[in-house]
Amino acid sequence: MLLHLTVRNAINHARDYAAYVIACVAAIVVYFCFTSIQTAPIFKHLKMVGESFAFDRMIQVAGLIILLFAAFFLAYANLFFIKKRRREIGVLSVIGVTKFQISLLFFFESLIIGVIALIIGLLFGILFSKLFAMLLLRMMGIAVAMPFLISWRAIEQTTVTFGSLFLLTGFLNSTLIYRYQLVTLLQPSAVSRKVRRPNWLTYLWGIIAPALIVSGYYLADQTLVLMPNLERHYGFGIDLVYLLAILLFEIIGTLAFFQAYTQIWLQLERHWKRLYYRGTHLLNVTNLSFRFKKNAKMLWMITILSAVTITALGSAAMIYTYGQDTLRQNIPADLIYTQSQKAAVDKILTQYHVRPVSQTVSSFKLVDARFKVNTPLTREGIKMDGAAVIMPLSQYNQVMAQQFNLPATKLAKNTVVTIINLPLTMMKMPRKAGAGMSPDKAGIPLQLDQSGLAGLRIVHIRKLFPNGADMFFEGGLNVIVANDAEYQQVQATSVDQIYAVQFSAAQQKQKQLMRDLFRLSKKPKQQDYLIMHKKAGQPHYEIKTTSQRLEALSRQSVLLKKPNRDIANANFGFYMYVAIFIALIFMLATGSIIMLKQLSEAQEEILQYKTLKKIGMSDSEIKRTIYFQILMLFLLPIILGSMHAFFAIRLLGLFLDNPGLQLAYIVCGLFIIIYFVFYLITANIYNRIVNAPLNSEVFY
Amino acid sequence: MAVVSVQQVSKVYGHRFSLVNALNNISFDIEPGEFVGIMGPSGAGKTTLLNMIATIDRPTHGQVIIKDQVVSRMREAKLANFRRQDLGFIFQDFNLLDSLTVRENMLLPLALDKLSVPVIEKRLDKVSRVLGISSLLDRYPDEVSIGQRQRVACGRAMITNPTLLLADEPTGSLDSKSATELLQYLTVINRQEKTTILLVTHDAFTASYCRRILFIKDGQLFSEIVRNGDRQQFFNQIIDMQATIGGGGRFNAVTPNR
Repeated sequence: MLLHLTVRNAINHARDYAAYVIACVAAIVVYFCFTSIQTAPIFKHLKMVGESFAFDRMIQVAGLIILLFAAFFLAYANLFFIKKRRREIGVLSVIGVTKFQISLLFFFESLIIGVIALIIGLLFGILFSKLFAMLLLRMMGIAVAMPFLISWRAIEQTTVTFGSLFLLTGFLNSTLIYRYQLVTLLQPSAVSRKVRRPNWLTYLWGIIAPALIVSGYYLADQTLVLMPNLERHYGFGIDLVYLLAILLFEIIGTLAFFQAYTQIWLQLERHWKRLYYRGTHLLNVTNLSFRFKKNAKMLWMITILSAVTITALGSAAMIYTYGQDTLRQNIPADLIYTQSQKAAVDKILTQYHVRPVSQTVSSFKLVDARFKVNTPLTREGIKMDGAAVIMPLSQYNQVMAQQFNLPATKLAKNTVVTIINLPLTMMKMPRKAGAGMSPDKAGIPLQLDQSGLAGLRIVHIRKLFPNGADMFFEGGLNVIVANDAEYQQVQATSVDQIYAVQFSAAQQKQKQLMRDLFRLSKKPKQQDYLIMHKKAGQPHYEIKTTSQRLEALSRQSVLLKKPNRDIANANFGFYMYVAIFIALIFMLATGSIIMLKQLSEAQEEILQYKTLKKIGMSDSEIKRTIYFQILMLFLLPIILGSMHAFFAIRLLGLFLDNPGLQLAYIVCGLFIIIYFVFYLITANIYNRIVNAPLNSEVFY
Repeated sequence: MAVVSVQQVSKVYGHRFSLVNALNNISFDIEPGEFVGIMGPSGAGKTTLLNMIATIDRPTHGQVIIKDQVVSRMREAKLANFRRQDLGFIFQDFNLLDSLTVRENMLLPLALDKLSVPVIEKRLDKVSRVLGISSLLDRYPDEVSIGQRQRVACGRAMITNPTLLLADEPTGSLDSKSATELLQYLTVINRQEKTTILLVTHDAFTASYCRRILFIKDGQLFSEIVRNGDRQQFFNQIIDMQATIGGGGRFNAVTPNR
C-alpha cells in the first residue's frame, strides 16, 4: 500500500520534481564527464603528451571540489522541494498516516527520483563525455581520433557516489519530517514583509561597507607602490598580511554591503518622493529592501563564490596567455641554434632534404659591462656588473623584425639599448629623482672596459631578447645593442653566432625530422659554457664547447619551437579544462541557489500580486517590476563579484608580468552571459507563478 | 442613468461532466450614489457576481456595463486601467501590503497612475481625515488594529475617487465594534462623497446599513428589498427574507420567481 502510494506520489509530483530532476541530472552529467576523462582510454594519450604534470593529483582534487559542490547543491535543491510540500505532509498527518510512514514515503520517493535522475544523467553523461573529451583534446592541441567508448569505471564511480548521495538526502528528508509540527504544516507560512527603519548600527555598517570595498580595491591596485614600502619597514612577512587584508576587506565589505548598505540606499530613496511615488517604483523599493534584508547572506555568498569562479577562470585564461607569451618570447623562431651546433643541425637538415623558409644569422661579442638599473626595491638601484653580450644594431633590428614584427630602433651616437631579464615589477616604477637613475634622455651611463668607447649611455631598457633569452647563458646575461660602427670598435676575444630558422608548415609536420631535432635540443653532443678568466685588472671571457659537464654557466644551444609549444598547449589546455569544469559546477550551484530561493519566495508573494492586480496593476506592469527586482538581485552580486574578480586578476597579473588579459575577460564575459540566462529563466518562471490570470484557480 | 448595468449574466464553471451554473440569467441596475447590498446563502453566487462586476472574471453569457462601457468585453490591458481608476476594492482580509506603510498602501493606486506628488498628498490628506487615520500614516499594517486596517483598505479603495466601491464581506474579519465603525464610515462616504457602493455579505447586521438589498439564491435573483424606514426595521426585514430563502419564513413569503 505504502509502496503504491510512493509510486503514485512520484508520478503526481512529476511536474514539481521536473526541476529537481533536471538539477540532479546536470550535476551528474558534469561529474560523470569529469570522471570519464580520468578513466577513458584517452587518458593514456594525455599521459604520453604531458611529460611531467601532476595529472592524477589535479584531477582528484578537482573531482573532489566538483563532488562537494554537487552534494551541497543537491542538498539545497532537495530542501527546497521538501519545504514546498509541507502542506502535503500536513494533510497526510491529518488523515492519520504516522510520521514513520510519511518519512518512509519520502525516503522511497527521493530514492525513486534519484534512480530516475541517475539513469537520465548517465545517459546524457555518456553522450556528452565524448564531446567533452574532444573539447579537452582540442584545447590541448592534440589531434587524435576518439572512438565512442563507454567508460564502465566512470559509470560505476558516478553510480556509487550519487547513489550514496541520494540515500543520504533521502535519509535527511525522513528525519526532517519528524521535526515538523502539524499546525505549522497546514498554515501557509506567514512572513512579515515589514522592514524596520535602519538603526544607527546599520547606518555605521552601511557607510563602512563601500569604504572597505573601495579601500580593498585601492590596496590591490597600488600593490606595487605600497608593498615595497611596507616590506622595507616590516620585512617580507608583511606581504601575506597585505594580501589577507585585501581579501578580508572585500569579504566583510561585501557582507556589510548587502546587510546594511542596500538598506540605507533604499531608505534614502524612500525620501525622494518625486521618484518614489512614481508608478511601480514604490513597490520595487519596498520589495527590494525586504528581499535584500532576507537574502543578504545568500547574496553575499553568491558574490564571493562568483568572484572566486570568475577569478579562477580568468586566471586560468591569464596563465594560458602568459604561457603563450613566454613561449613566444623564449623561442621566437622555429629553430634557433648556436655556432657550435651548426654542424649537427646541418647534418640533420641535409639528411631530410629540408631547405628552411628563411634563415637569419646574428653575431655578438662578449664583454665586461657595468651599469645600474632603477628599482623600487632599494634606493641604490640594482647593479648589473659582469659579462654582457654586445651586438650590432642592424642585426638586432633584422632579428626583432623577423621574430617579433617590431619596428626598427634608431640610436644616436654613443647611445645603446640594453636588454635585461628582470621582472617588470622590479624595474618599472621610477622612484624620486636622485635615487638611482631612470632611462631618460640623459640615459644610464654604461661602462665598458674598452678603449675609445667611454661615454656610452643606455637610452632604452627592454625585456625582449633577440633569439630568446635562453640563448644567453641561463638568460642571465645582459644584451647590449650598439650602433654598428661602435660595435666594430669593441675588442673581444670571444665572438659567437646565432642562427634562427623558420620552417614551412609542411616541414613542421615531418615527424621524423622533428623527433631528431628534438633529441638534439634535449641532448646536444656538445654543451656550451661561459668561462671567465680573471687576469689582473681586466676579466676575459670565452665560450667553451665541450661534451663534458662543467661547473659554469651553460645555455640552451638548440631551441626547437614545435614540440615545446605542443607540450605547453597540452598543459595549459588541461588546466583550462579543469578550471572550466570547476567554474561550471560553481555556476550551476550559485545560479540554481538564487533561482530556487527566488522561486520559493514567489509562492509567498502570490497573494500580494493578486491584490495588486485587483487594485488595477496591469500584467505588463507587474511583469516589469518582477523583472526589475529579480534583475537587481542577480545583478548586484554578479557586478560586485566581477569587480572583485577584476582586481584579483589584475593583482595576480602583476606577479606574472602583466600578461594580456583579453582572453581572461572573454572567458569571464561568457560566464556572465550564462548567468544572465539564469536570470531570464528565473524571472520568467517567477512571473508565471505570481502573474497568473485573476480568474484562474491555480494552486501552487 | 445607471452606473452599473448587469444584463442577463450567466456563468458556468467546471468540467464537461460536472457543470456548475454559478449564475443564471441575472439582470439589475445600480444608480449613482446608491448603497447596494448583495445577500444570499453560501454558494449562491454572490462572490461570482461581484467578480463579474469587478472585472476579475468574465460572464459566460450576458454583459456587464459600467459607466457606459461594456467591461465584460474589455481587453485585459485596458481593464487594469479601468479597475485602477473607476473601481475600488475592499476585501475581507484587507489584503494590505505589509511591506508598505499605511501611507504607502493608501497612495499606491495614485502612484501607479503617476500623479504628481502634491496631488497625491492632497488626496491622501483628505481621505485619511475622512476615515480618521491621519495619525497612523507612518505605521505598518501590523502595527495598527484590525478595524484600522480595514479602514486603511477602505482608504486605498476610495483614494482614486472611484465610480464604484466594491466590498466583499468587508466586516467578515472584524469584531462587532470595528464592524459598526467601518459601516458608519462607509455610510459617511456614501452620503458625503456620493460614492456608489456595492457590498457583498451574508451578515444581516452589515446588510442593514445598505439602502437596497438584492437576494440571490442558486445563481438567480431571488428578491429585492429597499430600506424605507429606520435601520432596525430594515434589519428585521432582512432577517425575514433570510429565513424565507432558508425555506419557509415567518410570513411564508411567496418568491417573485415562482
